[in-house]
Amino acid sequence: MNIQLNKIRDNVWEIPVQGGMHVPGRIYISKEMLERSVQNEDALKQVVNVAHLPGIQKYSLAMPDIHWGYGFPIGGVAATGLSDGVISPGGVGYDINCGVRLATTSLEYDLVKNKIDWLISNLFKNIPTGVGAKGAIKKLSPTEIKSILIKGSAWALENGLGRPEDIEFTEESGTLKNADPDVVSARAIERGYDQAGTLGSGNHFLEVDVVDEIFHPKAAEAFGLVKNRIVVLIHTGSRGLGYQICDDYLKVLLKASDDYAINLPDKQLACAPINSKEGKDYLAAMQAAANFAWNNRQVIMHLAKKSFMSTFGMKESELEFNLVYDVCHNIAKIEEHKIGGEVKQVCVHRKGATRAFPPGSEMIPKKYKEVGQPVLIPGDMGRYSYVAVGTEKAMEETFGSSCHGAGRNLSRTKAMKEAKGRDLVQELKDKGIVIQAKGYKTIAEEMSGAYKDVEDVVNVMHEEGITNKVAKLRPIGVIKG
Amino acid sequence: MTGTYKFIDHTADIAAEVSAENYNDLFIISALAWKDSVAGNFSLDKPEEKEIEINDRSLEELLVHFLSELNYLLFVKKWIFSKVKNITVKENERQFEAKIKITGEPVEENKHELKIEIKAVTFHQMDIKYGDGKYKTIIVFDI
Repeated sequence: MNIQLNKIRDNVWEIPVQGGMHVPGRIYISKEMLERSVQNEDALKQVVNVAHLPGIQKYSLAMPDIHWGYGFPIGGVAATGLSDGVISPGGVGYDINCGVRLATTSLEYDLVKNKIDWLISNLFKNIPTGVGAKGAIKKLSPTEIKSILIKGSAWALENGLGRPEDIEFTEESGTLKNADPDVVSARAIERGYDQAGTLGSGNHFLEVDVVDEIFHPKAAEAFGLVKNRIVVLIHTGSRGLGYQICDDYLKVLLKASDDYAINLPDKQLACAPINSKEGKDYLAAMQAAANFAWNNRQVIMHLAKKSFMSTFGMKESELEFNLVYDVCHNIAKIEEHKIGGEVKQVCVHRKGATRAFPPGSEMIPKKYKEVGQPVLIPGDMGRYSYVAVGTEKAMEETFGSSCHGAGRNLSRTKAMKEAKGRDLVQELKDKGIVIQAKGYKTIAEEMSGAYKDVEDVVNVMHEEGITNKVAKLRPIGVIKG
Repeated sequence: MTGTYKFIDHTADIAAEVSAENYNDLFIISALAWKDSVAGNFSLDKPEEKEIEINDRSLEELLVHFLSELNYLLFVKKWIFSKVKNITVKENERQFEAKIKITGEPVEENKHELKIEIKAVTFHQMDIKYGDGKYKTIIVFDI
């Protein structure tokens, strides 16, 4: 399929309405990135497919880290009207509420650099990683799992695994209120029972970074980011519980798509009207998985804090392990947005995209009201990650959304070939980065060169004024599954 | 049993092209591709049998369902599939059903090498077509 792309601005491209599309497609990307990696990919076709969803508003959007996904492309954003729109698990992903959290510490790089091996080793010992990893917290009963599904991060707090401030600095305070464990299958609960507080495998990680560069001093100050200080970045999601909920509801919604006579160009876009029983059930189950994920990242943060305290022999009050923010980048949320001069309630699907609300938003912590919401954008383990901040323009153009990461450049097989004969652990060490993982295969598949340069992605959103760069983080230690 | 599978390049996940002369063999070959994706070679020491009975609205949904069952047995029940002993896949008034007897054994950390966690068996590019005397499809595992 030849997809027509019209240039709107230097970094904004439009796919005009054709065939069954209800709205145009809009892609935020530089010409160079478009020509290098996206133009011939199926991802553009997926932007077109998403534009077929009933009730879609304004545009089928894609962020600069766009790449091929299931149903929606990764980096896809779509808002659907509550009265006439649909909800689709393909717009959320299998890993519901996959997300990132960033915590600051009082530690300076100079103090940590000689103890980094020990720190990483302690983190690796204390935080369960890899295929089939079991939780570091006690085995939970189905009743306790259901409690996590309802309470999210608040469950961790009640169980001594967090502080009230942690909740305050989590998107939605770590709890979506309409979560309903009764619409979550027994199998999903079974898949999650030993996975609370586990990092998982694949691209999930815990990274120890140093704040390398500050671009926006006012926002950096509000977020507590100080040059040369150590911070911790955690990337994981709802684990097997979330995958199972997505799997379960794809089946339900495939049938519903037929029942409601919704014609779809791709089975992975299976959907149902938001107001239908099937749509409401999926939303409530998805919210339950989102709560599980927030609790998961909260527990991992707590385990990380304990590891830092034991490594450096510090008290909690000395370490100042403060949560900057926790954002989800695989989610569907009911939000209010201005469309055609009117404020409308819509269901915003963000699949590999981060909420990026502006200064003054009622939805962000008071402390950030003047500067806007932190947007966390991990890169790869050998280069850097970014912290940015949301703007009013994001509300006007992208339903308050921005990019979420770098995106893969090489397949896992190609990365393995590239890694052959190299000592990637030593290569990272030469760059001042210590890594511990369950196996060398993970390190090879997740090698720095397997990912695109996240700086290109972040710069597009910065140049377009959707998010502004705040700080650049440089990794010094990583643990992976 | 006749049929083949081969892994094809995929940027983020694992994709396999499977082909076989009939539905039964297509399901067996697909299960072997799944096993090759998740685990290293092993021989059975404590063989056990399990039966899977499933029905769905399409052959594609039935195949995804079957492989998802193997995934569930591995990642939740810690039981790994080794081979298909008996299989009957048939169409019945626009419903597809399968009765499958499989052998496998409980996972032992020191014995079975688990390579990756498959989040889900997806519908992406899953389209079972008949041509040149064979049923063919691509299966993509989200990892």
